[in-house]
Amino acid sequence: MVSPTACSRKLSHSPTDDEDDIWSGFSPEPNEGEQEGTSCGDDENESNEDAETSSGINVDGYALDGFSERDAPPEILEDDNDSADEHISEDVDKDNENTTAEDIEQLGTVQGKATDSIGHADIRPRHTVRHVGDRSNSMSRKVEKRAIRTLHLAGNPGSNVLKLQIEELLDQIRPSHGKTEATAESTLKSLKGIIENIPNSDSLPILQAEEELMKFNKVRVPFPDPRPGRDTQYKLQYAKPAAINVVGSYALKIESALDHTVIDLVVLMPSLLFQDKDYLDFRYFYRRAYYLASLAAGIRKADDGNLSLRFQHLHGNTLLPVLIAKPRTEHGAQQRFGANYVIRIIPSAPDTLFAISRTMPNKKCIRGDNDSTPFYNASLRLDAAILPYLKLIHSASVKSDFFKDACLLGRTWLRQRGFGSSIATGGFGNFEWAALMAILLQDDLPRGITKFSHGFDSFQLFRATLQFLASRDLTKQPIWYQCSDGAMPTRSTCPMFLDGLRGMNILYKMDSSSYKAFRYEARTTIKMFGDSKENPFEAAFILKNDIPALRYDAVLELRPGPSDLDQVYSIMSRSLGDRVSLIKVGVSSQADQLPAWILEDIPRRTNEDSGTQIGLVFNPINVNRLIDHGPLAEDPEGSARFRQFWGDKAELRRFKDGSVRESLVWSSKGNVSITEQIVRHVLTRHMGVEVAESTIYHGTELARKVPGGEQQTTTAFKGIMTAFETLSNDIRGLDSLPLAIRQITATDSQLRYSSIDPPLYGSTKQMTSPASVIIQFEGSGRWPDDLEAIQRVKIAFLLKLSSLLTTSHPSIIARLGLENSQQPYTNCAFLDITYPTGHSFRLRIHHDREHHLLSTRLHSPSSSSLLPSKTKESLAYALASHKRAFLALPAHTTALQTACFRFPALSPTIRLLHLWLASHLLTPHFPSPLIDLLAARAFTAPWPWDVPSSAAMGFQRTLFFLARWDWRAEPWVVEFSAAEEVEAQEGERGGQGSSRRGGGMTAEDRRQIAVRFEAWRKVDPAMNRVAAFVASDVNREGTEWTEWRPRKVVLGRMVGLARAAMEVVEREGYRLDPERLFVRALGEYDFVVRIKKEFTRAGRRNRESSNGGEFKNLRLQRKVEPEKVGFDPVGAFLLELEEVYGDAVVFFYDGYREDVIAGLWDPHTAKRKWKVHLDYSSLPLHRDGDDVGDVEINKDSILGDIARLGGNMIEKIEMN
Amino acid sequence: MAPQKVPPQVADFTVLPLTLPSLPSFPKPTTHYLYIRPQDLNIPHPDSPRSLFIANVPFDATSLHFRQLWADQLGGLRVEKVEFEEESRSRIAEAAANVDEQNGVTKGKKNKKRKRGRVDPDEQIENEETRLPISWDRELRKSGSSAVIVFVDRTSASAAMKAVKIALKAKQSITWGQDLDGRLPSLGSDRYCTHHQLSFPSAKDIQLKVDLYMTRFAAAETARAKRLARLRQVPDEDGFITVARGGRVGPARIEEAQRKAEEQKEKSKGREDFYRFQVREKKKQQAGHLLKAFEEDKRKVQEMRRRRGGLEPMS
Repeated sequence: MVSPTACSRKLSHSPTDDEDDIWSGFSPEPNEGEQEGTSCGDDENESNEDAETSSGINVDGYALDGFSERDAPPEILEDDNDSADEHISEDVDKDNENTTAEDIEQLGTVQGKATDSIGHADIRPRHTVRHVGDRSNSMSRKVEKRAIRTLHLAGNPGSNVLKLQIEELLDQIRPSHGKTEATAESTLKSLKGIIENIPNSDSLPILQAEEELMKFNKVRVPFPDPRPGRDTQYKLQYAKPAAINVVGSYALKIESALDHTVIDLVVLMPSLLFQDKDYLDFRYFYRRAYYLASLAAGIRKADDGNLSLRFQHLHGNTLLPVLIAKPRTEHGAQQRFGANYVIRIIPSAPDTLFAISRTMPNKKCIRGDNDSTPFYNASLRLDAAILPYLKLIHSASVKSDFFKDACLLGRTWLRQRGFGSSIATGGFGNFEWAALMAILLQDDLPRGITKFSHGFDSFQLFRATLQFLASRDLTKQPIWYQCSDGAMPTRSTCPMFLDGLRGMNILYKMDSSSYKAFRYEARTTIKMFGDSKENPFEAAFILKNDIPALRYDAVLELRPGPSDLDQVYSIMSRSLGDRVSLIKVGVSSQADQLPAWILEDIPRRTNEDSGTQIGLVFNPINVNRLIDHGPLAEDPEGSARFRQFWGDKAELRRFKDGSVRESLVWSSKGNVSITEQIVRHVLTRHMGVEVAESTIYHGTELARKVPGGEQQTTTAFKGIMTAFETLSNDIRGLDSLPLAIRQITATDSQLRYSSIDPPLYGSTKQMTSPASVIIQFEGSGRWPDDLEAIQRVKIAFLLKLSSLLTTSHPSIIARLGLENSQQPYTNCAFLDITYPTGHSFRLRIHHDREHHLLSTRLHSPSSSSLLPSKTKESLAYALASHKRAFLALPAHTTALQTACFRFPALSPTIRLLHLWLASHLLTPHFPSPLIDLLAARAFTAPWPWDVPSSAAMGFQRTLFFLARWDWRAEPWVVEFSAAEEVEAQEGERGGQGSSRRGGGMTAEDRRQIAVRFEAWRKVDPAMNRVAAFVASDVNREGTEWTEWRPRKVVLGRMVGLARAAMEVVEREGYRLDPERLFVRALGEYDFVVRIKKEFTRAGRRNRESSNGGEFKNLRLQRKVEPEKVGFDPVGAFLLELEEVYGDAVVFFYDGYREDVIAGLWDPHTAKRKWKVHLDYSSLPLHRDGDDVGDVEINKDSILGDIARLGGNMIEKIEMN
Repeated sequence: MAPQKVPPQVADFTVLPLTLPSLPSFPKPTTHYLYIRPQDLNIPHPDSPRSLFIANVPFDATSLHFRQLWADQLGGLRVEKVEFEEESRSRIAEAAANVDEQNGVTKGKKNKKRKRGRVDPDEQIENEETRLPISWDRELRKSGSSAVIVFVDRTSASAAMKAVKIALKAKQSITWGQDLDGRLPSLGSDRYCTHHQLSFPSAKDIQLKVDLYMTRFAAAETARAKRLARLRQVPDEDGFITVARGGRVGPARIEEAQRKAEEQKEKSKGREDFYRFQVREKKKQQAGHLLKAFEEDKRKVQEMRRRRGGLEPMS
């Protein structure tokens, strides 16, 4: 092996070197020749590859470009049948075949090629600062050209945005070498000098060496556990290092500008300090620890207190202590935060010190242990492999233009998900990412793994790496790269990616739990890239995805933390099985803060006193399963094991298919979720009662806020859905209806699983608000062509229906009701149908010709100018309400019913959001379908997470998205059926061509929505008419539910409340008391109207139950009271208030508890000059020297009016 | 609210403070201000000279309120009728729509609104017999709306204005809705209870009304068809025959005509990819579009950067 000098930034220590330019001796490539020489000497394969790459670019530029334009590298997409990509590739082929390919295009290609090769040349820099600027310039030019060509090939404008965004992101996070770096480099220089001048020490017996260091230098040797014993014979010594190098991200220029700069300084220990057998029994690590302590002592002695020195475990690996040197700044206060870089001094060993074969994962290096010691071996090997890896990564970054950028993207992705190299954060960090990607770019990969192309751009490299990590389970299919005698270590469940050339399992710090969690995230992101409807950029790189409260459906808190986490993990994964898709041990988001300790102190491990948290992500399909099937009774061995694990919970049962099995039966009664029952049972059985009892289970508190919410599904709505079915059948069963029925459609929130209370929940005997239903008859020419006459015909139909229905089903009570008496063209009658079960429906007739008549009447040029304004108004009102009630609402309801069926947690999520908005008195501003859409977004476009599998997750993530919603500039779009498409695709892998079916939106549809949104902003820039633009694939106007309300002020308040809630969620995490999100602040309103108890919901409930409580027989006998259906005095009161004072006051109301109406004076009611027609009651004010005075709103009199109108319903009115 | 601070006059309106009885739920005594002046004589209405115009009518005002106000508290004058803003506006609208509208409409509460649009004297379909019942027992006024009070004669009107001024000078406290308890439907939950009951009228009544309406409607339709047929057949005085709806061939629906026109247009276009130059132009155009789309995307990303303070990862 060649010395690493050529590739690493070695700190020159030869006295002949120019001391002024610290980098001159070790610039990455002193010249081309040396570079060539290095790679030749290093590895034959690499030089071959170089040649191949360059020829690839020059000779076959066109094809290469064609590939590189795609969003994803085709070779590694075996698993991911991305039809969009297929489309594109077809297009590519077509264009290539087309021999008359346009001049422009060819020109573009040629130019692009030229730029590409220029880029190549540029990318080998000599001067760091210039290089960064140049490169980003040429890059953006290049990207632009490429993008234009992509357009030709793919014709999809959306993909450009992603490219541009990534370019923008990279520009921001690329390391900038400025002032900090200059000071860092001078610090490094002096540090190097200090280290070189530390004198060699004598060889001393191990304990004596330790004592002397403590005695004379006050440095405690950070020996690993177990410490060297008293009978240890060998001696320790310090000698001048063989080399000092800067390595790692800093040297490779792949550190991110967002992160704290950490400069890794490797001090190569000379081989003379070691003996052959030192790889055994921690001997190497003892020597290393002593060496490090000596270094620390030497540095502290020579340094004038400029550096603050601490020990730390590298990546939390207790075998590998390192020295952290942080420069002290002059200002004492800034000591901790002022210095924005730290230097990490890592002792390392020559890579030839121990043979690679000795430290293979299946070898045993600790005497007394029965098993192989993969972790120990890998830690040992890591020290020796630091420089070889530096070389590998560097050569990869030379070969592939975009390697560094891909590293930066990977880094950002990892950072946003809280992953890092340290064991506590998963053991997969930037180093692992870069090393893995570098290996996957090599030619000599084992069979079955496809090499990455050197032509990939940064995003393709990133995506390919992630795809690799997501698709292959490295615990079951380990990878042996360049390693002939691959053998798994005994009893290992850890992932394995063994790099035979450097002898390391790159993933050695990951255990099966953290690996699963990591793969879960990778899979989610890959799934997201396959989802064509959202631009994945934000979710992949911008959004922070490490807040435990938004990540786990349930969190178990074990206090004190058990010693054997592996055992806990295996118990959990065995007992929960397919009920969960992820079990993550250790969920704290502060885990990446590695403890450091001062030199005199004893080594500190992780903060263990905080207990252990285990995060669970449910699998929504299985999580509520009541019965678990165990092994058959005929299988005695399996049964015994089953019984051994489950104890007395296991019971033998005969099932429907005749089999007799061991099984487990869980209870769905009570408010303990099944998951919690299981967890408590197995903890009691295997870890003892104390552990089980001290364990806290977080996760159901939020869902329980809505009645029946802990079931996390739609079961509470079963009753009404059955009743609706009955109604539908009953009506269809009538023979003598004048017209045949075309359709009976549900339009009510109670019929789409989204009302806060499920109908007839608890002890209620009678639905108070009837469920709206629409009935449509077959077309007939006998309908009148007159809008008012149509309304009368509807009444006639309803009356007919009513008499037929009550004749054939005498138990049904049907009542005709009138509405909209002010509006002649709007639907004016409905039929309330009440069943003896207490279910009530409100039936309205949809006549499709109405829409046409209304719009021609309103829009036809001949009549519209002649219409009186009042008529016009009421026509417009009628048209809008017709569209909403008869067109948009049925479509929405059907779509949502399907969605609730597909996403079990959606229904409770919507209901929680309803409740949340009601608690903050926003009910009157958010119509129910709008709330549905706001909540559904977290399911149809859930990224960066997967689809929420519990109500709490759905709700909190909805708050997260709402808090980030910039409603002035972004439309909110929900695609119900496109999600289905993706799922269908996933389900039937390989089923190509089926992806375009169904009602999903195309890119063109999405563009149109965006255009419509922008048009609205142009038409109504003050956002008075349309503030929020919320569209779905079934209602694409975007204004169906948002015209006139919610108003700007209300939307702003909602987003503000969501932000405040997110702050609480982030701070409190899974320990959050859900009450805190629902506390209303009444002090912020100008006045508050308190409703008398008997008219509020609680009062009504009380009355009902107390009646029943006193006379049980009465309660049993109580019949349904159809007169009460739809009676809502407070709601009617609020509507009238809005009619009378709507122009002067914004009203707020808790539509769930029905106990408070609050109001804000509209700012335009402030003091102004008097005029006749003000739209609020006014109070004249004196103004000197002018007979036309000022007026202002007469607040007292208005409040008095409200008190008079509300009369006996009002407890009191408070002014703030 | 201390009334003495209030100017007696704004513009040419006299300010009349009304004391409102306080309620236990809002014990503060409140004052409402009416702005009164004689009706502007420029409004060409026979009633104008004997009317007063009132701005800022209380939300619960009824004509009974005003009758009582002048009868008991302001000089014992007789109010003939009160026209509230909503009603009079709709009347003006109807007049403007050139609908001849002098058919003895009774002064109900909502009835006016039910009859807009085309109303032909001989096609009077909707009247008291066919009108759907109204579900409110009392109408509310929008806050800040106005009303016109019509007195029995001119002298009463001017006396009424004088009475207001006298009362003001005497600092006489005038109470809104005095002695009206029990004479008007009450507010509060009773109002909504009644509304709920009225919303569900007897099916029999409704059936009758609807049947009658439909009979009349059918009759009117037939009459209209006849008249139109006559129009088609008989030339007018200039010898022209009016084009009218109906007849053997119904007039084409507008939307159908439009569709047909579209089709024609489509046909006349011809092939677009016949000549080489056409293909070339088209490609060029496409390239232009793509470039534009790219520029658009670039703009979008710039926009994002500006909005979120750069596309910076959350921390």
